[in-house]
Formats: sequence, structure tokens, C-alpha cells
Amino acid sequence: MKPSSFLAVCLLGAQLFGIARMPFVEDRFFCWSPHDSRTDFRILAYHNGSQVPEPLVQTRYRLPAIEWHNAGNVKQVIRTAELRQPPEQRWQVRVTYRINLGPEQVWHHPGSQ
Amino acid sequence: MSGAPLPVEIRSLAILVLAINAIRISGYGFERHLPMLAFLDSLGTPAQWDFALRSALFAGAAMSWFPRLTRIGAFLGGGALVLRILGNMPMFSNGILFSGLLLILISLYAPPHGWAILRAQCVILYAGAALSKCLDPDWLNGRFTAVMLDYHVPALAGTLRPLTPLAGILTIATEAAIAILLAIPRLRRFGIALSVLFHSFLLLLLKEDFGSFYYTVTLSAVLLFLSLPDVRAVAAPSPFWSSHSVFTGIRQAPLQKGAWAVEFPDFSLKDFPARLFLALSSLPVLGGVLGVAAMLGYLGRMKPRSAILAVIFAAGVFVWISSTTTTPKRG
Repeated sequence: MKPSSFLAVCLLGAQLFGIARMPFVEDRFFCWSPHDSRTDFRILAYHNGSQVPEPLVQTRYRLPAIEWHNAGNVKQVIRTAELRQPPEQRWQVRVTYRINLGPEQVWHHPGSQ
Repeated sequence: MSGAPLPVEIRSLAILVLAINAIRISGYGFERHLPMLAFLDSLGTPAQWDFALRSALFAGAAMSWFPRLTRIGAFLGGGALVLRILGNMPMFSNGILFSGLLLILISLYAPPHGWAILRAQCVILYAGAALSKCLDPDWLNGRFTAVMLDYHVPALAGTLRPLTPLAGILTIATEAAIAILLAIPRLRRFGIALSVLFHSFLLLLLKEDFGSFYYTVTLSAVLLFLSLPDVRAVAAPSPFWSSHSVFTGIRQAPLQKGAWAVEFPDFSLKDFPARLFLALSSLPVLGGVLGVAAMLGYLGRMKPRSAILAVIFAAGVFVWISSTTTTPKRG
């Protein structure tokens, strides 16, 4: 097999891996189905016991209030954004969200999955 | 990258996908925020990142028109689109990722596996989408379909609500069927037709072309799975159309001469509707229709007009497919 074909097959293989891991994870990146649910959410962030103003929350995560993305993707964005901050600048995050306008759920970071 | 020349279908696909993305996606910008891979944050300032990716996409779109530069153009443009996805986790998009990967795979095209790899990309797209929906109870009980209708077409949502569980299951079945039909050589043309009709139906119903996704996915289905010798054989009487004298004498000019047009030996008003459909099935007209639809969508958000163009496109593809007689010559 030519090197270019091998590279192309690797790209396809990576996608198959993304699809195969789908039943075991919550996010839906790289498996051709990120937009298959609607997530309505509100993010509250706290730093040193004080609530972080909403514009700062928006600056850090850049997520719309209604997201046509899987809830797992939204959580992964918040998780990644916090992990990339220096430890002293990390926030405690509380997300109330509804999937497909279903019952309200709560997710905390750090602290719960 | 291989030096083998790109087949005309694949080259056409690269040119069209790059043009449509240059029109449709560049308007969204290439903002970098929270990249999937942390090191991407260290590659220049956000403004430099935006400029570099935008330039790469436009340069790739321009280069693709030159036969010797099409591969490099596809790699540049595809790379820009994939980096747009990797560089902005909150704005992940199926449509942009599909266009980007398709262009990179085109740039890597090499016989004898090139066709199979590009076709596999389309099959994986539909298989992944169908499997994901199967795992989601909200797709099986119709909740997601109801929510989507409420959001996109509130006027129709009430009327269609009883159908939402069926619609969810039908969507899964359609996506799975497209994946299976496209994977079986002798059933490919049904897969193409189902794909084009499915996406055109969604576009009409939701009045949403999902960025470049509608155009890229339907073009891929047609250009990667329909063998061009079939197109050249439009002139021959087919089982489907043989009873319609209106099609007699119409033939498509040989593509290898570069005359991508439908020839009409004689013209009469009576034949006009059928000939219009056949004319719409020629590659340049298809590309033009898609380009105009993309431009209208981008410039004015005139979705109803885009939708009308898409229906004409779908009708053209349907006639094109049903008018062909020979079986695909490639595996």
C-alpha cells in the first residue's frame, strides 16, 4: 500500500475508533453525530467563594445558552477549559441543563460526572 | 502525495467543495478558542491563525482549478477546515469536518485504493450518524424530532407531532439504509438517490442547509458513487424512459472532450420540461445550482430560494440516475 493510501486509511480508522467508543462515553466529537440533541443550560461559576460575572463565564467557555450539541460535548468544553487554567484560576462550576427540553439536571465541575 | 492524476469526478468534487466552503464557511470566521489540542494555542496570535486559515482555504479554492495544483489545493483547503475544527472545541461542526476530511482524502488519492477510501468516508459518515441515534432514547421515542420541529418550523410542529416517533425511527432507518446501499456496488444508485432526497427533504422542511454540509454531502454521493460512463450513456434508451419518446435524441456530450453539456439535436416546446431536467443533470449546471444556492444562503440567508434550487438539483439528479443504462464500471 502506498504511504498516501496508508495515511488515508489511518484517517478512516480514527473515525471508526471514534464511532466504536461512542457507547462508552458521553461526548459526541468525531463520530458524526455531535448535533443529535439540544441542550439548554445555565452555567454558574464560583471563584474563592464568589460568583463569577456572566461575561467572564462567556469569555472562558464561549457557549450559547441553547446548544444543538450533545450535553457531553458541553461538559467536555467546560472540563477542558478549566484544566487549561493555572490551578489558582480554576473555577467551581455548576451547570443546570435540560436535554431535549426534558427534566432539569445538574452537573458540577469538579466533583461529578 | 501521489502523482497520479485525479479522476474527473474527484477533481470536480474538490473544486466544488472548496468553492462552496470558501463562500459559506469563511463568513463564520476561523476563530481559535479552546483548541482540541492544547499546543495549537501556541501557534501565533488568534488574528494570525484566522488570517492563515482563511488564506489557505481561499488559496486552495483557487489552486484547485488548475489540474496540476488540485491536490495541493485540496490539502490546503482541507487542512484549513480540519484545523478550524481542532482549533475551536465549542464550535465543533459535522459539516466542516466532513468537508475537511474529504478534501484531505482527495489530496491523498492514489490508485488502486483511492476510490474505495473516498467512498468509505461517506459510508462511515452515515453509519456513525445512524448508530449514534440508535443509542439515544430521545430519537426512538420522538422527543428530539418534536423539539427540532418546534424550533425550526413552529407553524407545522403541532400538526406533525403525532408523527415524531415514526420520524425519528425513519431517520435512523434512512441513514442506515444509505450506508448499506452505498457500500454495495450494484445498489449504489439507490443509495445516491436516497441520500440526495433525504438531505433535500430536510433542507426543505427545516429551511436550513447546515453551512456547507448539504452541498458537500449530496455532491459526494453523486460524484463518488455514480460512474461517469453512466452519465455518458444517457443517450441510450433505458428501461425506465424507453417508452417516453420525449427523451429520444437527447444525449450528453462526451466528458473527455471537456464539453460538459447536454446536446439537443432538435428542440420543441413539448420536450422542454424533460430536457430541462436532463440539462440540470449535467455537471456544470449542478455545480452552478449548488454555487448559487450557497451564495444566496450566505449573502442574504434567503433560505426558501436555496430550497427551491435544491429541489431542482434533486430532480435533476433523479432524472440523471433513472436515465442511465450501463452498470458502474468501477468496483
